[in-house]
Amino acid sequence: MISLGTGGRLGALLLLLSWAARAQISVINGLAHFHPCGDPSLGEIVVANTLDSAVRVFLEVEHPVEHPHIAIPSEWILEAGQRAAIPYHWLDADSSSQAVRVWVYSTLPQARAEMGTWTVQTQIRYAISLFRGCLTTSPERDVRADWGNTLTWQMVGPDFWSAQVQAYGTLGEAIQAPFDLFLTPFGTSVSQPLPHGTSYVVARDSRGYQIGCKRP
Amino acid sequence: MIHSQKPYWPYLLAAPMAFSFPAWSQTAAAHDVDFTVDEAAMIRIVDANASPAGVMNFHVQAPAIPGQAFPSVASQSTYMQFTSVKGASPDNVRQVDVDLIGGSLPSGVQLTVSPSLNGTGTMGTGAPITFSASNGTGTLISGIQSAYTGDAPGDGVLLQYALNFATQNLDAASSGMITLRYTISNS
Repeated sequence: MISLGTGGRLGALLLLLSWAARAQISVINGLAHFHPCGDPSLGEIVVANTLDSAVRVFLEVEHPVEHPHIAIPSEWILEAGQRAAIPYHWLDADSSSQAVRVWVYSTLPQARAEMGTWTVQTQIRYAISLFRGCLTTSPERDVRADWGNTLTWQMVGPDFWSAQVQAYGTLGEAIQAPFDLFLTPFGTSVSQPLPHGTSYVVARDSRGYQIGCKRP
Repeated sequence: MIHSQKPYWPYLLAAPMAFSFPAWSQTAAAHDVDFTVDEAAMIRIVDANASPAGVMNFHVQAPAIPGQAFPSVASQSTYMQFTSVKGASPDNVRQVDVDLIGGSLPSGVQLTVSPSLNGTGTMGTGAPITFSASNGTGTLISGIQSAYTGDAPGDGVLLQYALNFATQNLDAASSGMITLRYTISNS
């Protein structure tokens, strides 16, 4: 607050950043889940309350389109120190590729801004990506790789693909640890940094499907 | 692009981190030993005492002599403490984004949050974010894999908050409350 005090002296502008005591939750079974088609269309998000008081957990689903893909509770009460598995299930158990993001956060405490102050509070939120669909059996047709300063992968087909990418030198020696690759059919691409001396890469999935790509 | 479809080099795919090791001998009954590793994402913001409660006051005070600009104010800090255990792709890399929600900074005032990474494991890369009337989002840390910061006082990612302003842009009528939302996600 800037105030004109006695003697014409400017007062002070006070910005108050306030961190009040608040509930804290954790997600302990991962921030991304992939459900291959053919598997049960059920899943769960495991959350834990690490404090000694109960907390209300909110789950907010962001669908890429208006059609809802999953059913999941919107709220869940966690007692002090409790760990809970919040269930969800996919509404369409067909082979179509689906993706949603679930935002998980706890109650934001009531904070009050005082006159002439700026109060800044913080909130912790977890973003959990859920995918369901089939894995491609034709990566040589469905996966595109573009060489540049990095190697950019993109799924151009209708399915998902998960693989490990190994870089090799000119003598066929493996360079560095494999790179985990997960491609979704929603137009996003993944850029992979390439170690020095890379001559070609091979991406292999767990079922034996693989593609190779040589540096141009 | 070259390709083939021979089964080769199988590995776990998007599966929970659960492994089974059969244990057996000729004189003992066989049994399996199973263990699981939580694919944890745990994060909190604490003060210098490692307490989740804290208050930071930025006093933007008038100069001592008429005609001078408002002096700058000292930055303040909190700590982000986290535990992260990555899983199989697609949850093998994580990041922390910060959004300014529930309000906005007054015009002419900028708040910069600068991370200094401290911890054990693959902590990723930090980058400062400057919030202003025109920018309310940014990625604070990227490339987090399996890592932990510790939970003691002074442990964690040091977050320095610096308030930047020019006197001619200040407006004492501006006041209110804003929320900084820290979101951890897979990259």
